[in-house]
Amino acid sequence: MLIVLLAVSVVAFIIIQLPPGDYLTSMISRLRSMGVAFDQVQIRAFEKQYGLDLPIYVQYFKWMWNMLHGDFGKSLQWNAPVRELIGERLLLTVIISVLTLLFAYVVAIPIGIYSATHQYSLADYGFTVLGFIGLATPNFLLALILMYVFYKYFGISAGGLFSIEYQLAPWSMAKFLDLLKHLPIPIIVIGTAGTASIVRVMRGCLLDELRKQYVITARAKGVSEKVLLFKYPVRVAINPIVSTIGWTLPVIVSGETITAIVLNLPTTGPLLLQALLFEDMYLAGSIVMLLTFLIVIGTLLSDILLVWMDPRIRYVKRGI
Amino acid sequence: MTKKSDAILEAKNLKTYFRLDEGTLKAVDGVNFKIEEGKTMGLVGESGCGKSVTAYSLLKIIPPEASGSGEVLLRRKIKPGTYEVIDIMKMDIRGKAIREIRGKEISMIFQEPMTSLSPVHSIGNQILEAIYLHKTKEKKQARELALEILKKVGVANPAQTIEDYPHHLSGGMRQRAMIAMALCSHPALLIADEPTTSLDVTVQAQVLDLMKSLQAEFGMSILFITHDLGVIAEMTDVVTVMYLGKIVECGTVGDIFDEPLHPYTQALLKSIPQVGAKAKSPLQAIQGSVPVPLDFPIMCPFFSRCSQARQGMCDTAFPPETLIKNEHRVSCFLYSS
Amino acid sequence: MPRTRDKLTAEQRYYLATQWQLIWRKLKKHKLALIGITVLIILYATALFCEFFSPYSISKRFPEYIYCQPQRIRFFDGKSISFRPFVYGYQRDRDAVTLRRIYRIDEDKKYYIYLFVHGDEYKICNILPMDIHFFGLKDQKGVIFIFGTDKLGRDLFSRNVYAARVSLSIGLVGVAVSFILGCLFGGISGYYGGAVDTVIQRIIEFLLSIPTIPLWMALSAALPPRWSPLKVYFGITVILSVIGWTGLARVVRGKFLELREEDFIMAAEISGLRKGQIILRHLIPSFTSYLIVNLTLSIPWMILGETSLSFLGLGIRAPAVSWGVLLKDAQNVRTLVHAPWLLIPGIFVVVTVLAFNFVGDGIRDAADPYK
Repeated sequence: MLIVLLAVSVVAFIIIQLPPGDYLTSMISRLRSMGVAFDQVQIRAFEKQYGLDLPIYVQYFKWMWNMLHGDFGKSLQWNAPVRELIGERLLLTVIISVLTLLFAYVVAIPIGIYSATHQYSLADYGFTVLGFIGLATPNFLLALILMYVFYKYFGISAGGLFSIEYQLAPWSMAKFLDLLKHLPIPIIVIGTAGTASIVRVMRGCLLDELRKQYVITARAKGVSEKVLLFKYPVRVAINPIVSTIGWTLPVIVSGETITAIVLNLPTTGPLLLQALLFEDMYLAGSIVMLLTFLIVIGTLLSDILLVWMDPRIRYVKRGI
Repeated sequence: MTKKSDAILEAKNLKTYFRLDEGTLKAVDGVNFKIEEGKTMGLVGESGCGKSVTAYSLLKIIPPEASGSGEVLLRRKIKPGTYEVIDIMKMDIRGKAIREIRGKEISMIFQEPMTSLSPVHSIGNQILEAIYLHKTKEKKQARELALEILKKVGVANPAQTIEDYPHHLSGGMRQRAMIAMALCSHPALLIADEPTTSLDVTVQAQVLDLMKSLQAEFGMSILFITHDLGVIAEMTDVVTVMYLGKIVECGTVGDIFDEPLHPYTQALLKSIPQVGAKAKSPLQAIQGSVPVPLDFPIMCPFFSRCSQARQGMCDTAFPPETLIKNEHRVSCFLYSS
Repeated sequence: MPRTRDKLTAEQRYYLATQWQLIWRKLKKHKLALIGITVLIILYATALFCEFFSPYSISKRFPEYIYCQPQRIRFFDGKSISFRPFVYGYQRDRDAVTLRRIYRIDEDKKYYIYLFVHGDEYKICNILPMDIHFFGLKDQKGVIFIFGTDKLGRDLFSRNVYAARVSLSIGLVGVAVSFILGCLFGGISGYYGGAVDTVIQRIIEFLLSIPTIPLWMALSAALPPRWSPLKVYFGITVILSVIGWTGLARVVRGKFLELREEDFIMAAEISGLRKGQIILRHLIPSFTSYLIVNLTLSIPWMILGETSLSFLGLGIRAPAVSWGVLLKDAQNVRTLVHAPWLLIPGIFVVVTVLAFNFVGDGIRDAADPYK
């Protein structure tokens, strides 16, 4: 896992260095066009200050070293430490992502079970159609449509995570409740695609398991259909579902980024876009790296969960 | 007044049809037999002849796209001395009544114990489930019963096995566990669907011995389904031969082996490799292969592979069942008047 | 026994059909897949000849008709039914309160729609000059805006059709690149196994852990601002494929590993087939259907990716258009409220993705030998 994190940091650093020219040159040219003059001495002073005169790999190690000490560099755009800028936004990103993940599974699993046990029924077709549409609609489009509907018919602005009075206020119970009031729309928008695919996976897995021999054995033992359903095929089919957390989490974080931009949520998404448009390298790279970091942790947790739930895997890990 | 050996289960005109896109598959097409108390009936035939589907039909655990008809009459003991006869086919598959039969009056064990046991539940959990359903709900007593039955089936360390998962055990052990699970409620009839086919020969012998001793101890009947004639000879009292969903011959094991009447039965017996036969003599295989009973026309099912088939007679109608002697019946035009 | 085609019974025809015949037969029954195929054919045909199918060229502006609402194609003018469809013209006005431009339907101005009219000039394949358009008005005074206009007064129907060409083709090009990379790495991984396999698998896992959209955003921002739209187009394709190949590589590797152990491969080896023959005649046909399904389902994924990027302003650059670029104009909710037709490109995206999903699902079900 450590290797993965190292690799991510390298990739993030490459991302940072990719745009031709760096923030300094573009900042200088921008300031120049506004009439501010720089001479060579000042430029070199800037370079030294931001460490831009050193060879690339040294810059990389310096960056890594700083990060391990909690210093993520300075945003040249905002002229503030990256850590401060990202801090609260990252927390909100985590909250939204985790809640969306929970939402997706809590909604999708029952629907998947129902669809599998009532295959070819009207409800099954209905869910399938809804699922397809959910998968086909890009997050931001859904967000736009919802915002349109809310604005046109209810006159409310559906975006943002906090009402105006709480936006800059310190955390309190009231602020937390306000957050909860605003959460449903982002969660539903971000979670649709994820929910739709989990429903399909659950339905598919369960359909596979329903035909298996051990289900017949249980039935021949005289177990009632309801107990039989949940104790056996559902229990077995849940395992691959747990392993889907591994790829659902990146999808959700990714979707959260773009939805946040449309809905104007104070999370990492809009910040990243701004940073990229202004070539603010430390900010952009740090955001990408931290997001990936989150995902890796999440995936690790889901792997642990899978081992705990499936005795067959436990057996393998025993080393026999 | 009851006869000396009464039928504990009787199937009358049992049919199970599958409606597929390609047509109707008549897996079981009008099957009649009786299983007597304390006796073992063997149901033999090649793969695809409908033996397993027959077994599943008896307990109504056929897949939803299949439809069954006919009667399956079970003679159930209510109190010592009193019996009632119930028709399983009339029961609602989701109802409580049939769950009183399954696992209690009639238990079933299957061919592949690895896939027949739940991979995510311990052996103990699965056996206890059967005990809680049919014997007692009291935890301590149930556990005692589970340990007892595991010991009876020859498990060396029941306390350890109860905690194990199916994939921890060997094939033979898994099959013993499954037998334990099936027998913990002392059923009147045990249906064994090719229980030893996937086991090594030595393990096979052990499991068969086990089944025989348990049968003697519990006084239960066994319906033994297999394609292995050697096992039939060793285990059964009565034999029923099936082909393409129909019964072609039935009788005592002595009748079948000493005087096989139906050409199919004769061919089956001839195809067993003989110990002591000349080294280079070819194996006697039955020509052709089992056709698919999809929209099968009205004729003798064995016609296409029968060496004694008569054109014009065997391919125009289904041969009627003829009683030859005692319990020996055969469905073949060679014997009908 | 002579076995001529017509003498085969239903049973024999069932057993003798080739793999592809069986798949096609089952696919035909899948109604949704057939609808999907039809829709896609229509979309791609329109996109291929977009200049022909759109009434106006992509950049033609009508400054007098900014944010004009879509016109309805009518056949009935209140008095008689006309065989030829027509649209009503607009009376331009200003709203007294908001001072916003509004367009009232003017029933006095009737413009009939004709097929194969002369219009703006364009070049087929950049060589052959043509000016015939599939439909349009003969009367030059009239305008036909089936999807309304945008903030510069450009006909959105035409722009949507042109956008189709970019959006739909990016999917194909991207999938082609992913296909090559995926087969290459997946094949190596599955064939050699061991350390090579482990390394490649770790790389794939790692790539899949990075949130896709932020990664794409970052890579797109790196595309030099001075690049031409065509270069940007290919740049975007490559960026999309950076993650896209992983799915296919996994399928290829998985199938290689699985099939290596299969009994029928061992049987082929025992019967004396050379390795090359085994790969060609046994391995590849076994998983070609999985490949096709994966490719079919990757295309909409790419289309959605490009749409998202362009929507954020990091994708296709002007003057090229894609559906994502068109949706960028719909970002502002206040604008959207007054011009909801700006969302129409979204409908196209959803329909295209649905169609591909139906077809992919249909092929997957049809190719499944155990159904």
